[in-house]
Amino acid sequence: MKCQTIEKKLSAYQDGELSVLEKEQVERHLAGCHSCLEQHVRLKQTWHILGDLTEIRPTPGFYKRVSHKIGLTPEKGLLGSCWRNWGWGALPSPVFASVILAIGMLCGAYIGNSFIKTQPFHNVAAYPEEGFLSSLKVFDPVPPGSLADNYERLLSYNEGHIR
Amino acid sequence: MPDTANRDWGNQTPSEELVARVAEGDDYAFQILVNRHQTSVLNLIYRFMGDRSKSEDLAQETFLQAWRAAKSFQHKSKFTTWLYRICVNLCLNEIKSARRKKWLQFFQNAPGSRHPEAETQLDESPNPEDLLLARERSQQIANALQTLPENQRIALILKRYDGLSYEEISRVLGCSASAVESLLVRAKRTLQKKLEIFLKKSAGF
Ligand SMILES: [Zn+2]
Repeated sequence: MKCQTIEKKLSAYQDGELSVLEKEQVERHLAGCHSCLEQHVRLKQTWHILGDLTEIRPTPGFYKRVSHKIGLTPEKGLLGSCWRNWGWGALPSPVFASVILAIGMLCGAYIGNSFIKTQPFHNVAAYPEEGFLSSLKVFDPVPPGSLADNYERLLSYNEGHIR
Repeated sequence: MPDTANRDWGNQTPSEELVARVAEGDDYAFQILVNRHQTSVLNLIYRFMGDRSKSEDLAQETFLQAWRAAKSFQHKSKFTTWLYRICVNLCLNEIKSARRKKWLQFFQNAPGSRHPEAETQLDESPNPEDLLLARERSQQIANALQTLPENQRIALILKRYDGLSYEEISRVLGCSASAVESLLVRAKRTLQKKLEIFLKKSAGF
């Protein structure tokens, strides 16, 4: 066999995929051909080097996650199960986030308003609504308690025109 | 499903027998199959895709599809060949959709995804210098693998890391055994060139 043919057969030879006859032919050629023998060695070494590729391991709980996906085991965790049991799972998360944000802003404004009242220049008449209603002023162009509001009121206080 | 007292039966049971049980809805048999093959499936995906983060999701998806398709398993064939075929098809689909996304990114001028090999996890080694060298070597091998065309890459991975025969690889890829042979000849030739630095170091030619 020619060197070219042998070179092509080397891969299958090393993988043990040649017939007995082909195997003998390759071995006979290798015994007498330095160039093909060298290629045989290089190819074997390449194969060996490939073994240095790192093996990774599955993260713990791999099967559990697969079985959750299939629905073999229920989702664990109090919040997760309550969420689904209450039927809130269908509620889109942006809606939920907006509601939480609005509640947060109202509460913040409510607390902020009660602080403003302690300031010396604060005119209670400017904010006749008490409690929750006054917190809705957070949506005003200049919300009470904001930096702009305080600045405006400080200016008018200095000028002697308290609002 | 076997009772809890006889649960040891599964560990010695061939996968082909277990998958027949899975087809009947036996989740314990499925658990044994997953535990038995999770590492090989995960690594097949990781070596093929070169991306640690995607590998676990795809491995889970592979088992999910295996569960669904258990009834279609033909008991003349080998379980791993069947499982790897599911796995390889999923990987190829993932590559296709990633390619589509890449095109979109190209048109949107978005930055490319991070380099896949960055997250390679290595076994603990006492010497940090050795660890660094091993990591570098592993990364270069992973990079070399990624340069191979998909069919050559799968054939090589299945041969080198999973020890499949040409016949078995041909069943996974849906081609002839002689086609597998030529895929491997070309793959090995390319890798020999790509990994020449290591060859010279160890061979002394
Ligand atoms: Zn020769």
